[in-house]
Amino acid sequence: MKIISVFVLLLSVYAFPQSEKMKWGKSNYTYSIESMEFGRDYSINFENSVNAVAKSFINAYWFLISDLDGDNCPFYPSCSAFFVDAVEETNIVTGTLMFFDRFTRDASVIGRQNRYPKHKSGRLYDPANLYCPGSAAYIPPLIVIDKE
Amino acid sequence: MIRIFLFVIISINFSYSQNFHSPENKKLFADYLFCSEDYLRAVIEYEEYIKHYKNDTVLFKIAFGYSKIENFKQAAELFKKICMQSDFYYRARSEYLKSLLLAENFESFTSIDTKEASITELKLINIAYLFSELKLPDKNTFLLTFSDSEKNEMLKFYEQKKEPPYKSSFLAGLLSSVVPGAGKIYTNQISEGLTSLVLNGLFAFLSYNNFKNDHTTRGWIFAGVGAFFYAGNIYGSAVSANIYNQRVDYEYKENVKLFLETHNYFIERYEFCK
Amino acid sequence: MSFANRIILTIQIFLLLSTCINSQTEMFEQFRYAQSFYENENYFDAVTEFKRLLFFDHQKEFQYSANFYIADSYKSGGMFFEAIRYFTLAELASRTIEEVYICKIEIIKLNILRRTTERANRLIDELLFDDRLINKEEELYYWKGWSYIFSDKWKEASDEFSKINPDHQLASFSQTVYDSLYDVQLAKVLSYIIPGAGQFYTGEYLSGILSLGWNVLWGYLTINAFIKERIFDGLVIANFLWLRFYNGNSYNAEKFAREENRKITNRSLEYLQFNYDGDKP
Repeated sequence: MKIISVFVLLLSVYAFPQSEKMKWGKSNYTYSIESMEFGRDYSINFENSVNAVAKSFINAYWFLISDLDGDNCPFYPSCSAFFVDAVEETNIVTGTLMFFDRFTRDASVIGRQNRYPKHKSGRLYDPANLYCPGSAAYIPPLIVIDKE
Repeated sequence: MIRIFLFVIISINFSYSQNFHSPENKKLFADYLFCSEDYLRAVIEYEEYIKHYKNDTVLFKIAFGYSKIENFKQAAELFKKICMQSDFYYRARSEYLKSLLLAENFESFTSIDTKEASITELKLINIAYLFSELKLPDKNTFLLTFSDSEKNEMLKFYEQKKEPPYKSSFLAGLLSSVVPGAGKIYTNQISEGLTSLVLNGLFAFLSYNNFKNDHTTRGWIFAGVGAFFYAGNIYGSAVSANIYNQRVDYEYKENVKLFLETHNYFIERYEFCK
Repeated sequence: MSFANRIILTIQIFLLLSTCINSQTEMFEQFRYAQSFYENENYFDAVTEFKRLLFFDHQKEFQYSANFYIADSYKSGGMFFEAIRYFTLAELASRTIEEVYICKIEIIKLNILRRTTERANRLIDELLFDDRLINKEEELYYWKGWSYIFSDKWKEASDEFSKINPDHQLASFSQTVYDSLYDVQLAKVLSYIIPGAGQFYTGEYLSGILSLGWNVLWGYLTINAFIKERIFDGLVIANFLWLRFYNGNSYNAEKFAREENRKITNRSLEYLQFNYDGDKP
């Protein structure tokens, strides 16, 4: 399902926006400017106690350190958000392994700009679900992903 | 004299008071839209027209228009309906297969009767094997339908489909467990492989150095973090092989599609607009 | 009188004349038919019907008005690229300098909306240099003001509107917006001088206090290490911790100022889009 949604997303990015492939109506365009900053999701899911503990640590880390020590992560989602997603989608053990693997990617700087798809915020797009055992997928690099 | 004058005036008036929405005029307008590549509007006008008149060309153009606006499912259905008496019958059959390919409806290929099929159709049926999970035919029967200029390329595609250059997840994991990062280098992630080697080396050294100098706690911390990097890299290498294989599939399909587009899906080009 | 009214009036007079002379009632009916789709905001079908009119218009009587309506329909559908294309076609078919001017202004408005501001400003400057359009100067200043609004230059916008009339409604509005914006550079510099001060300036007090706390802690540990002559520890703490949080603090001050400015700008743009009654792009 996720692969399909990514595929649909790529289609919408690739397709020429002006061509008339189906009937269209009035568009409600606005004058506003879109924000490129992303918010934090501080919610904790108490159903799984191990994940809840891990998430509380991450929340504390976000609040006390990550939000204050500048913009250090070139990826979207950031390394800590990647860890949260990885634990949510698999389990604490696999999630931790995925996180250390991501950390290795974070540390390998050479030629990185050309190896990842781009998120619309200008960061490199590298979400957890692309590395989960069941849903590992390939997205060609240098494509712009327009997605939260 | 007056009569002639009146006639002229009436005929002028008549020519002005034409009905733009008559079926004939709809067709004229649709032809114009079709040729200025406004296929969606052309299809809508043509569909109004064929409610009143039967016309094989228009039927074919509607289906063709649907294919152009990327509604391949509808296009396939309409191409299939074009009957044997039509001038466009054989062309429609090829276009039908092209629409099936683009709609990724490979199931329908299994029910096609190959006895009456033209060369183009046979070629497109063979192409469907390259995209789907259907069992590949024998190499020689596969290549038989293609012309000499196409054979080289098709042979490459056939062989890649038969034995894709995949990398093994197990081998990648194994390599990384022997030498950290080796599995990543095996799956072409050279920069990450080297980084992993350096990181593992660094933590191993830090841990060793601290144990040597009797900083046992620090030694254990570095050893623990290093162990996570080591294990994470083994996991990452195995996934990396999986992603590498998907990349192989993706690029393979892109190449076949590019080949098909440059050859116009083996269908002879037809000019409706001159 | 607004542009739209003026356009519709000229088109209607022109149509009345043309139908009287040619008795092209069918053409006129088709035009009305297409217009009815346009008025009911059914823009896709409006484009179809105007295209049909153009196709049968062998006398080329409707080239300007039909192309204009097609362009305006595309604009309402948010297809700015197509809209510009058809406004250009309408401009090519126009017969008077007034019609050329109207099309050019529409193209400028689309460039303002697309935020291709440089292109919009260049087109406006071209028109300002045109001797035949001396009496249009005020209108051109007006659109230049809008162009600056869309490129977030409220001060320049206010100046352009003041050229029309020092008490112009939008001049004072732009000036108010400009005055309420935070100074991004100031926020940054404040945080460089006293960590957290820039955050206080933008109203992010909690973040400011935490930043100040971290910087005091790492600063104290660094100086302490140097006093006790543990030079290596001092260097490590200064480099990897103090510097990191010090830079992060100024980065945050800048980020907060920018985000606040974006919110203020969006509120103002929203007001202009939905509550302002004058001409807008």
